[in-house]
Amino acid sequence: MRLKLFLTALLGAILPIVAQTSNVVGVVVNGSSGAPVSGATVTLRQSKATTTTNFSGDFSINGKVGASDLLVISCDGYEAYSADVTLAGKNVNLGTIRLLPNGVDDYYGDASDLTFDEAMLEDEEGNSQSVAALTGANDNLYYNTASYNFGPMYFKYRGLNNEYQDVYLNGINLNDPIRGRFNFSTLMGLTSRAFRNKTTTIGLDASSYGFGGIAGSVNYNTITDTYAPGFNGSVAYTNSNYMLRGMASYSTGINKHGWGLTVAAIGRYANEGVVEGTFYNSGGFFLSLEKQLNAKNSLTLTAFGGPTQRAGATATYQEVYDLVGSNLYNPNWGWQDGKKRNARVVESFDPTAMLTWLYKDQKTTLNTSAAIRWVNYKQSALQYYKALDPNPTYYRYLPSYYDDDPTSEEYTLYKELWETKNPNFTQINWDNLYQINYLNNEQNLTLPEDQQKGSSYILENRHSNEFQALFNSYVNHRLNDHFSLQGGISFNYTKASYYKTIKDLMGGQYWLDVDPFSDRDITLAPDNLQNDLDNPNRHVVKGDKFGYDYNFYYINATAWLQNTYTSAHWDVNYGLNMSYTQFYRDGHMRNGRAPQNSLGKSATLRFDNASVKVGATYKLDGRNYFLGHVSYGTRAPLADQVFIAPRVKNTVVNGVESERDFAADLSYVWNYRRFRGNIGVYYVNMDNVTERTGFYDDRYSTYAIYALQGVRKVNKGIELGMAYKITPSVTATFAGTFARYNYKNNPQGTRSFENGLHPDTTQTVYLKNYYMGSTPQTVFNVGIDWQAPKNWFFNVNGTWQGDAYVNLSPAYHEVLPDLYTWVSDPSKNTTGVTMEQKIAELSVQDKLKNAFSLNISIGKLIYINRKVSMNINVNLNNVLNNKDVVTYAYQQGRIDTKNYDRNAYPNKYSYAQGIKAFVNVGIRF
Amino acid sequence: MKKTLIYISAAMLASVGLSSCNDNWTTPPLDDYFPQSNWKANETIEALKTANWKSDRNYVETIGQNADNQDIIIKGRVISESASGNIYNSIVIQQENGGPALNIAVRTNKLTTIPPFGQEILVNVTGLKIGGYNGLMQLGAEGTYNNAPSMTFMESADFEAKFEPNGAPNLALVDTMVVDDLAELATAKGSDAGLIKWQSQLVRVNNVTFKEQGVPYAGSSNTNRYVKDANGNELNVRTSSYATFKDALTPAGTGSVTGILSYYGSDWQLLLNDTTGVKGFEPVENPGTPDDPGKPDDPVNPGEGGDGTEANPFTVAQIIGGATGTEVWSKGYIVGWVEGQVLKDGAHFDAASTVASNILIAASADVKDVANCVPVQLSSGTDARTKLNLKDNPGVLGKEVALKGNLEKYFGTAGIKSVTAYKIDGASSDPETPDTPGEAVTTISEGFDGGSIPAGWSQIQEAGDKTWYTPSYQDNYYAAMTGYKGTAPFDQWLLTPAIDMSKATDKVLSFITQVNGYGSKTSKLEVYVLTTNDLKTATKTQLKPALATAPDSGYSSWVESGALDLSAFTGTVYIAFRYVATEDANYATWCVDNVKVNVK
Repeated sequence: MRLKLFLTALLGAILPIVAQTSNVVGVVVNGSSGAPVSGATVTLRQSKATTTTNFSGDFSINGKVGASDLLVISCDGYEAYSADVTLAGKNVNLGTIRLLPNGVDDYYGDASDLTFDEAMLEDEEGNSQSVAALTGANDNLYYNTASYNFGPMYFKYRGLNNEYQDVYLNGINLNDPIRGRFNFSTLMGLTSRAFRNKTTTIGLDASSYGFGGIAGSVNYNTITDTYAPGFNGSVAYTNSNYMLRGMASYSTGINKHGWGLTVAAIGRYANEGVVEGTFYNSGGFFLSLEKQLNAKNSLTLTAFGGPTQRAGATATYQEVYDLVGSNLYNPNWGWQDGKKRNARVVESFDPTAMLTWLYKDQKTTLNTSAAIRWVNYKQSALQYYKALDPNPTYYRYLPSYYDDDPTSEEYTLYKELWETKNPNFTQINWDNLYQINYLNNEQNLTLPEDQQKGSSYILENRHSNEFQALFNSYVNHRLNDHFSLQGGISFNYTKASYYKTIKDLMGGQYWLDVDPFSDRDITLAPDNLQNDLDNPNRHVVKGDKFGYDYNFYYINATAWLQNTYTSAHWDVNYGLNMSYTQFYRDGHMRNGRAPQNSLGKSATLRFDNASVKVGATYKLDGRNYFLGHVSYGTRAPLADQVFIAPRVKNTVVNGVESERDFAADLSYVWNYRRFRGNIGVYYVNMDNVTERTGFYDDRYSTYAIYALQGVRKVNKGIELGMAYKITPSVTATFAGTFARYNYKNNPQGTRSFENGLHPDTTQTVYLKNYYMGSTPQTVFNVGIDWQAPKNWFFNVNGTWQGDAYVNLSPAYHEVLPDLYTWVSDPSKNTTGVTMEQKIAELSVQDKLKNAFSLNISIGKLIYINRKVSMNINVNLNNVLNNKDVVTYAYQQGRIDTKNYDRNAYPNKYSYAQGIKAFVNVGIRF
Repeated sequence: MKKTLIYISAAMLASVGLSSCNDNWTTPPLDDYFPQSNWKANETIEALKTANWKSDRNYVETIGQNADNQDIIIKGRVISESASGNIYNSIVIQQENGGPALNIAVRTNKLTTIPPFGQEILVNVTGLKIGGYNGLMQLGAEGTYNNAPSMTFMESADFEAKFEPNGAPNLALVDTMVVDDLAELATAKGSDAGLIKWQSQLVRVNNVTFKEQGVPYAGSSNTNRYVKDANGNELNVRTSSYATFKDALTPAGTGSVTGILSYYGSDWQLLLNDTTGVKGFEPVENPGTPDDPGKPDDPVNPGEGGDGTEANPFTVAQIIGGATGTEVWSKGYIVGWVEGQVLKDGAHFDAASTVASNILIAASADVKDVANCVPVQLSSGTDARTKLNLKDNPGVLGKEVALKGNLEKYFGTAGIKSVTAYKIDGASSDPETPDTPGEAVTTISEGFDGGSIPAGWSQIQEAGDKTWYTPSYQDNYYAAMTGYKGTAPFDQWLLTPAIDMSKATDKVLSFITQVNGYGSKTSKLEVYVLTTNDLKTATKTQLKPALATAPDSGYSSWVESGALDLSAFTGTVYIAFRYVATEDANYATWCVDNVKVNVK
């Protein structure tokens, strides 16, 4: 009570309570999913009052007492709602109002699957990395367009990485606690079916289910009750990483005994995807079973999992793409027995089970969930020992390695081999690798045992598994017509395991478990080679763990509380989030490179974090409103970032601290019948960030790791989204952003070589004002939507993306101690450049080409009868077949310290495919 | 709705502030690229040498602390070069402003970095030994010579902690002592002061000849070669059998040798840093191709003052006196260059230029006073910059040059800017009339050692997109042409300057060729005599020289063309080297060198 008084007093100043008015309140929700509808315009016709709903769908509007009035609620994507209301007293509570979505929602729902399919790419270590997928479906026009149409470059909302966006399932945060990001493949491609009911919170907006990150959040709701009863099936063809997709879902609705069941299944398949040598095999199953115990309580069991097996592609040098004449060249495969075999196969399966208890009464919603979850992920890769690098794009197999003398025989030979695309050379030569292993076996017949040789080449699996136990409870309680409280607690226990196993000995007898890359340097002590000093020179065979084997143990507890005030002109919210995080590494092998510091537990890192968030909306009227948000808080660093070389040792970055994030935005939204839109500016300051990148350094034939510490980054920009209805059925849209995502200081960087060849070194990395890479900073999209008669939908839009840069490598931005000896040596510095010129040349961040993409989509809904309907979608992305769009580019982590030639170790690029078609036929009844 | 538009525009305007312009990328501070020492020198090399000097040939002293009980720290700039291997296990440092030098005897093999030539280092000498090793004063460790205490090398580890490099290596701050008369050195060794001053110093000995010419600097053991001056005084040039240049041949003719002046027993010996210290001689391999083709007949009118015409250029005195003009000719001798922004602080009167953007000219080659000089701006991308800057062309120091440009303030004083043409050594550039190389020459002797197609030579592209260029192999430049990586067909002509056959006495052409063999079927080299430099009008006479034959792979050896008789030609002719090739799997590279006409 005291709290209420306090809050009333606090906000009293901005609340002109008008006499002789009646305050009407209510909640607007999506009629099919029950999710709150924010940004809907609420009008009382007689009283000439308008307002809009807030993030939880709440509205509060003042009408003239006594009369009856006409309440009209309209929102894009929904059928308009109107009802007569009687403004009898001072306060009128209309309760929950359900808006029915119109067909456009279905149309977009299916199209969004495409966005999620694309949100996968591989980083330099070959780990697949999902891009922060924008989750769409919001009243923010800019955000919606960005979600569906900002391709094919990988657009990051506000330049923020996936880890700044929280993804919840029934209130449980499913971001990977070790790597920070949510892996959208968890949703198995069922984004338009099992995971269609979601609430998206943009940027710093408040939400009712969780505190959210600075890039916003999304909550997927899988309570059975929220699925429309009936069957829904579809078949799709696309020329992407998969070719065929079949999906089906069936929901019973809730029967009279209070039981309800929704099941869904999906299969995706490609014998060979659009990139040569890739394949895709994925199934998925989903179940949601609800028992409504009484009017207020229900229990729901959600379970899902989708085993996936897919073979991927890897970024490589422009030189290679040019030599073979295709930007979709894939070095990962080769012919074996007349079949294409890919060395990089990912197998994953993340079964999840969740039990949710939902309590609802007039004033309170309490959502409590507990989940367990297993993540099984492994990716295969070729490994070799005392043998030639099997990767066809190894730099010594490229003509450029010999271009000092373009008349040399090697240059000519390699150039010809590449240009003629001789698959024994430009792809993995499996037969040759097997042959070498067989030769080892042959020799072993006559050799004493201690001189025998194992496989020279193997396929290994790199596993990263997790077991999670998760708990969350959140509450939404309406204190009175103006105030409500949201809050929650959550708990996360995660055990993450990382190890390698032998997938295939490739005809050899065993694999010698030493670090194949430490062996290069004979001056190293023999112990240095050992991956497991306690089992030196172990012979491992198929299925055995080897190489590295360690766990992370992670615990997090979080509580948050938020207060919301809603009135006719003001929506205000403020909240506090507090958390405790701890984690440690537990090594199972005594690594020869760090014998004292690899076996057993590391120190436990503990972090206490808090953040605050304040937001306000001023509604001038129902048509024009102004929003502002501010957030400040700390975030625990990620286990994946603070351990310098976790595959080897327990060492963490010196003086790890939590990251400090400040973010603010201001925007203006207008919402007329024909013209609506939003324009805003934002500023995000991330301070004390820890960033770790790993890369394969084939100069030393080892993984090298570069951990940056104390990084400050600033992202700022303008966002504009507009839609103008030219006719009631034709809408022109514009969405654009102009932004800058910069490093803003010169952090400390620690370099570590996994093979222990050199001790770790720490130095200043001069990054100030460089750009964050591989995301466009300027994007514009112009489109036309036509909701034609007879349920036809047409959309044409074009996206221009620019100001994207290559991900930079710290090595080019530190003091190079020997550069001056090079510059002052005329026999090396033949062009006579000065130090300043050379430094400037080396430290340039390459800009990516601007990209333009034209997309067309056509949809048709056919109502066969009252119950049965069909929908057909055809999406053509990148109609102009532009094959020159870089989706991901990074500068190699190493630098040519012999000649300081910037092009000695060129950038690596991944390209978007050309035209991409998606044809989907669905049926529902 | 109107309100809305106002709001939108207001928001747009407000956004401008937030999304301000791009900030510059930062790079590490330049100073951080160089080692910086916090040590402070408290004694000079001269003082250290003097204090510890003994006339004994072999002795060892231990250096203690100074009167203030502090370690003694000296500072010097490295004047020895370790890369060529001739100066081995020694680092020689020189006191600033040409003060005395000191040899540090240290086993350099395990030093983390051997300080390079021009690098200033500070050395904490307290605790180190100083003394004589058979007459040469040095810093090092205690050893024996003929069973008596003497100096020897310190171990790397003992020296590692005793020195710190400081700042960027600066070649311009290295001073070379000039010796014009070897008798000077003979006198110097007669006194302690002379020995202290000259031992280990970097010296250039001018006007000497090698006693033995065309022999390797060193054989399988350390070897003494002697140079002598005009008066017959000799100096031992001693070269280690580990020197990388030991197989190079001692040159003919007269020139200068630069090296570290070492001392053994009772005599000087000069240790070359490398063969770049051997200048002005004539190489014995190619006695017919002098490095320096000599002064042209009369490139610049030597009159008292001029009027800015090509025939009668302005003198330095006139320019300093306030002569004005645009696109006028001036003349003077190249005497130095300017570092940084300030003329009086940055003027250097040597060839060790670190910049290519300017030179200083003066009325005579020996001017060392900046007040009597005129700075000349060499704009980037100009031929004048390429050919005249001292950084890349140290050989132009002291040469007379004529320049066409604007008389403007430069470095705050009377200067020359926007140089569009120049004349030096008979070579000239005048981009306004590039096709008329002016006076026909009477001789040609071209080894392409300038590293570019020489002035006066020209190319005609009849087909293809490749040109003759001047690669180098084993320090020899030559002209070459290949269709490799180009678009066929090729028909590329390389023309000599116009040759006035009427003045030629020995009408013979010779050159050498080389070709590589990668199975080219169509690449050919042809040699013509042309009557004009326009292929359409010229009468072409094909010569039949002996040419190299392509081996199966790799390069052939150089093949002499033989003496080609040009006696049939009169008037002005051009010799043309024509590379032709049609579409081919591989294109041969044809190489041409040592083109000589009218040279016996």
